[in-house]
Amino acid sequence: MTRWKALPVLLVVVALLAMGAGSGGAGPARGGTLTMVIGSDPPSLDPHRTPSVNIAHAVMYETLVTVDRRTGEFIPGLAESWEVSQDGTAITFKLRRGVKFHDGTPFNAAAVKTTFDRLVSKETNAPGASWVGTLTRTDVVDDLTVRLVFSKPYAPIFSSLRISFLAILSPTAIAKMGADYGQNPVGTGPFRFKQWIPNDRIVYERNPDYAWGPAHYKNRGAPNFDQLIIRIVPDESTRVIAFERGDIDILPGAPARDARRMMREGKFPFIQIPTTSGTYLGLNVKKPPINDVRVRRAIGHAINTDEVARIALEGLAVPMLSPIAPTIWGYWDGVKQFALNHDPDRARALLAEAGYRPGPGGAMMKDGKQVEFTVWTYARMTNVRVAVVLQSQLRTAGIKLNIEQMEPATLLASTQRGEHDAILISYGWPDADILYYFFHSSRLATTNRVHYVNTQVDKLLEDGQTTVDTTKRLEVYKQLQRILLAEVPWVPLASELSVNFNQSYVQDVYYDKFGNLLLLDAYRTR
Amino acid sequence: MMDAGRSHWAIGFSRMRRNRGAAAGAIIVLLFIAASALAPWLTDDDPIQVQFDQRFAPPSVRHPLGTDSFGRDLFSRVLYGGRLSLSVGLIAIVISDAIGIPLGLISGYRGGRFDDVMMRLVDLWLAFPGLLVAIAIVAVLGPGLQNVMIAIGIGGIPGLVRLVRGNVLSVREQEFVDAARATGGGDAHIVRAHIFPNVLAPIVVLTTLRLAGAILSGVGLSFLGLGAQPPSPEWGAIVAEGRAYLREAWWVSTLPGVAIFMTVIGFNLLGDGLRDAFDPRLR
Amino acid sequence: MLRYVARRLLHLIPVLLGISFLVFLLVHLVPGDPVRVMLADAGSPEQVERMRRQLGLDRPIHVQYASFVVRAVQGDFGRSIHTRRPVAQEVAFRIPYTVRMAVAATLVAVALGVVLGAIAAMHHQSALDYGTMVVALAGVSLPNFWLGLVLILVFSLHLRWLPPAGADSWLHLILPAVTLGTSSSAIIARLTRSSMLEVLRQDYIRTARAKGVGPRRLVYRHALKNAMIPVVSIVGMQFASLLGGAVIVETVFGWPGIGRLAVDAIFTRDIPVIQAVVLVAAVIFVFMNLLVDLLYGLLDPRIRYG
Repeated sequence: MTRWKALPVLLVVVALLAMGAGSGGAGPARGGTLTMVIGSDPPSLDPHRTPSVNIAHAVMYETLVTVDRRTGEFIPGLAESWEVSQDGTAITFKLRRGVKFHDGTPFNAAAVKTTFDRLVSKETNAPGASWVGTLTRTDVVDDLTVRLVFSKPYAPIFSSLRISFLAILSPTAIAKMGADYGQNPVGTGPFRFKQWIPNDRIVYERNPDYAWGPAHYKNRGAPNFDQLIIRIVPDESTRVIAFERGDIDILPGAPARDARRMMREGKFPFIQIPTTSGTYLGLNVKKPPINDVRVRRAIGHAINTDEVARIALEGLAVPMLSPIAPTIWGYWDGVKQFALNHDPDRARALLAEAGYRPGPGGAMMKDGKQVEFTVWTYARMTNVRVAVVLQSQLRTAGIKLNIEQMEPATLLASTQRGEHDAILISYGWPDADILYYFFHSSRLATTNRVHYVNTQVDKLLEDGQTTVDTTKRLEVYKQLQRILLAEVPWVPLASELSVNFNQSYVQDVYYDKFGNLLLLDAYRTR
Repeated sequence: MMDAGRSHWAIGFSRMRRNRGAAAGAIIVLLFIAASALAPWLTDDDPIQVQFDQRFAPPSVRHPLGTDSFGRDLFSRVLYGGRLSLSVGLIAIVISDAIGIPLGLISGYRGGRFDDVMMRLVDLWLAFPGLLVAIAIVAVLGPGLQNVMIAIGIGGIPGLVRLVRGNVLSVREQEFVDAARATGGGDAHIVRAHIFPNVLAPIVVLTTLRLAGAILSGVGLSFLGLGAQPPSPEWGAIVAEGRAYLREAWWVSTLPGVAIFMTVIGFNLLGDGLRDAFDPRLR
Repeated sequence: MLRYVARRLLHLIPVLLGISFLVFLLVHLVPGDPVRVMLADAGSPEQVERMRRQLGLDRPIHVQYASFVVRAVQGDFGRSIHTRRPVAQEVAFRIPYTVRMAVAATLVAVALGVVLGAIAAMHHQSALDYGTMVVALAGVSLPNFWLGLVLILVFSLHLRWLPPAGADSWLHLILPAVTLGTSSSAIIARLTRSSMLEVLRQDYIRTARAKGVGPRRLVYRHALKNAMIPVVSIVGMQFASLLGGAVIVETVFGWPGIGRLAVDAIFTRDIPVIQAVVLVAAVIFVFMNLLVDLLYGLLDPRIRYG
């Protein structure tokens, strides 16, 4: 549950493919192998023992609800329907009949209960456990009815419910495999696990019994491919070449520079979609000189997010005005009037207000020292490129920015202790509740890396979780966005676009609005 | 004794002047050192100044090596970057030589217990995969060129100790050492005046290669993001950054790569020359 | 000689103990811990503590080390903290790939290095000497990640002869082995050259020459064989370092070897995996050195093992 992006593909937390019926008459061709490529192995295929989920989970597991690729609405997955109680503390799911796990175990309320009990148990200590929020217990009402009971309303639950962290696992396999579930994973999805060669490939085969695809597919039965292979190729350039050569059928999330080139060359069909990710500059509000809000605002005005998107991210990104990316539920369009627009003069004026005076070479100085801070980031190319652009923009405003690349484990540990000035990372999540993790004071020792404490913000973040009424909930995040833009613990930068290529002989490949690859209708023409 | 020593060096240098390879090597190395040192006089471009309207300019009169993905002038970056890359190599070597050579000399000359313990330690250290050690050291000390030099320097010690010791062993029992001992030379004197000059040749050969190796280790760490930090124009960092654009703008990583290549060649030719000139067995 | 081998193997024990302890210390010195990486951002402080307890990471270092040694002696290296797979399995998966790559790369390095070195020595101080050395040095001075990509562009994308990534067949082995082998061929070429130069000046070669042995036979029968002694030692060391140092090549070519396992484990602070990988590397290193020393004996009858 890494909430920022380790790799673009990895973090596209993929919801689900469900599959469908329709191969009648001159329908799509059946058979063949589909090969796609990602950058790194999932740590485990057991959703309860992995810090991140990706396409490798999504092709074989299913969740209670899923998202319609056309409307973006929540639609039935393994649950046929659901009902939220009046006070918002219970959700009752009617489950689909006739669903079977890959090992033959029938899917029912008991399976859901076993899965969620395992997810939240102290013994499992699942990294994904927090996604169920205030869930206190799971009750079996009857064989095909199950109720999730929460200690208080947890509004973001539906965003979570479609993520593979909350996929339903086979109780038989759980009992049999225990800690080895990840090596012998069993789900209900259209593909079933066959083989995993670490750091090389994961192989799946068609689930011939599959007949419960979500409604947004034409085909709701078993997938058209006999076999699905997910290749692991860590190097971006190699990945692209393997695709261009035809070794790979689907290349999701091509690196921006190659995506631009291939779009220009026009040899391969592609689908360009926004992502629910955001790249931001997080400023440690406890560290001088950026503990001064005027300095933070100056930094915000010195930064030109258009240039960040256009140069650093090769134009495959949109500038972000708010900490919430425009694709994320809760984004407020009115945020424009409060955004930190690019205005170097204003930046200098704010610094002057904070006591800094222009020195040699336009540097803004106080007590013989320039305004200076260091940003930590991962050695991921896009992050580093953004940092270099920021560095030059801040230099123009008389601010010195140092860049340090770090490996994630070090960055994680050291920022939790507050040793840093600033961080430049990305997150990916489809609901505005993500702000809770980044700004609530209870998260100081973990994800609140800017060490921001504001009781009003705490209150609003809690309201955001417990307010079930959508209009009222939107109002909460509207206020939050205004406060965060005034206090500038973050300078929002850009939200990347994802360009997904496929070979022209692969037809009907879809993506939903969260960037999840949908394969049930897909087929090969040769 | 001193006279003999001086003539040894004098003969060596005169031999070296006649060695064309060594001369070429020396010239290349000096050229790169001079170009780096004189960078501000050779170019007006700031190596870290971005110019977004000048991205990916191919080599031209204005930009002899072209520009990179941020529009930075690569000629200027390579010149200034030479300062960093050459220092990484040199300082890393100095660190391992300063520790490794004395340890190897003592270990080989003294033998006995000290030697046993030292060799066990060397085995242990050598059995550690080198890049992993470097990564671990950088993880402890933090990223950056300084720590890269330390990591690479430390990584070079055990191989050097072993090499020096081995050569000392073969020299120790030779007649001229016995003769020196018979004429009453102290241990320190014998090591300095007789053993060391006689093991210098293999050290020099290894050092020239290690220089290349050290520069390249720095390059590798830059690729992993643990080396030079942006916008530093360290050569490895430029090649690593430019690699992603190899297909559209080959010059961004290829031309700085040529600089690395030339420098490595220069040091090696020079080292070979030194070896031929000073190896006493060739006299 | 058996006694010699037995003694060398006995030496292995303190080396392995020392290495494993150093790894333990090192991992504890490095900032960041495996539990936080594993739980990523989701973990509440209580959850982090709980998991640390479950994994036994809350115990003092010496206790952890002792229990590691006790279990390791019985062949139990525990489970990877990050993937939850048994460590022995993680390592065993990759060893065949790693060995295949190291052998292939060593073959490339030796073939290239010995040929270039011999040519250079035979034409000492001529244009050919410098030319071959420049070629050898080109190999070592081109960064692996750059050379690898260029080879992929030429042989995979343009000529379409070889696959760029994967480990399915011997074809997949060629490009990474050439990339990796090239970088260690320079050191072998230089050593071959210098030790051959030395050998060529020795008395017995002069004698042979005086006896009228032809130059070709001289090189192959006498000079090359004797010049191989130092070369063999460096080949052994290169082979061992290929095991651990192939990280970048494995990354570029998507090769599922032990180098990537090691670096991933370092980045996730996956102590049991780091331990196992380093120990395996150390064992291989020691064995290679032993093998080299025994080979010395075959090449140089003057050496005896006491």
